[in-house]
Amino acid sequence: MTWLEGNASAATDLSTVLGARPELMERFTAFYETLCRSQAVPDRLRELCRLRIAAVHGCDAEWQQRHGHCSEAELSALKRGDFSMFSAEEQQVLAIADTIPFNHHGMADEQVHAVQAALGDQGTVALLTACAFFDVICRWKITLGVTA
Amino acid sequence: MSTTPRIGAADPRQAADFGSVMAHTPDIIGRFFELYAEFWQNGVLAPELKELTRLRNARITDCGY
Repeated sequence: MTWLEGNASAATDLSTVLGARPELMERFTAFYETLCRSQAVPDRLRELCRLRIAAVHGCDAEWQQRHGHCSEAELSALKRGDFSMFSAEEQQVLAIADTIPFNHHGMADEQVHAVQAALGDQGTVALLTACAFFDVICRWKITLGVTA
Repeated sequence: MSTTPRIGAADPRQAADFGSVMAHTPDIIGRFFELYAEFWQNGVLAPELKELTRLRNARITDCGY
């Protein structure tokens, strides 16, 4: 349920709530789809980051969304924060995703530079922006009390 | 915390700031500015209230930019 009047008794998702501001929803959807379809970052890396950030927040509404394939073992590892089963490149981006929700000032230059070496400037900007907005989405969903 | 920009401007002749760094991904930042403009220019909340929350959020997250 959500705390918003008029929807309090219904199971709601973010798009239903944003429907109260259709112009805002339209622009948000266009932005978020562009962010999530950017070819500057491999889809799998972006999805791993999204899921890890959802896990850090304990945001079940976001965690339950599946935009790509992860095995049950990978999902379990993401939830625990144990990245040892992932590739070196995946571990680098997951380390960044891990810091963004509650330790963004703790991110080291070396972490960013490692990702930069793998993805280039464009990919790094796209990845960091995606991570920042995955963080926003979790906070948004938790605050609104939506279910998906 | 980084004390210098980690990523340079897309145009190396420019200083690295939010806009010039985000210019590495023009499709993303273009859509973001459309969204942000809608947020700031329309809606039922007074601009002063939005600005208060923006500044408080910047303070809490220690974002000097």
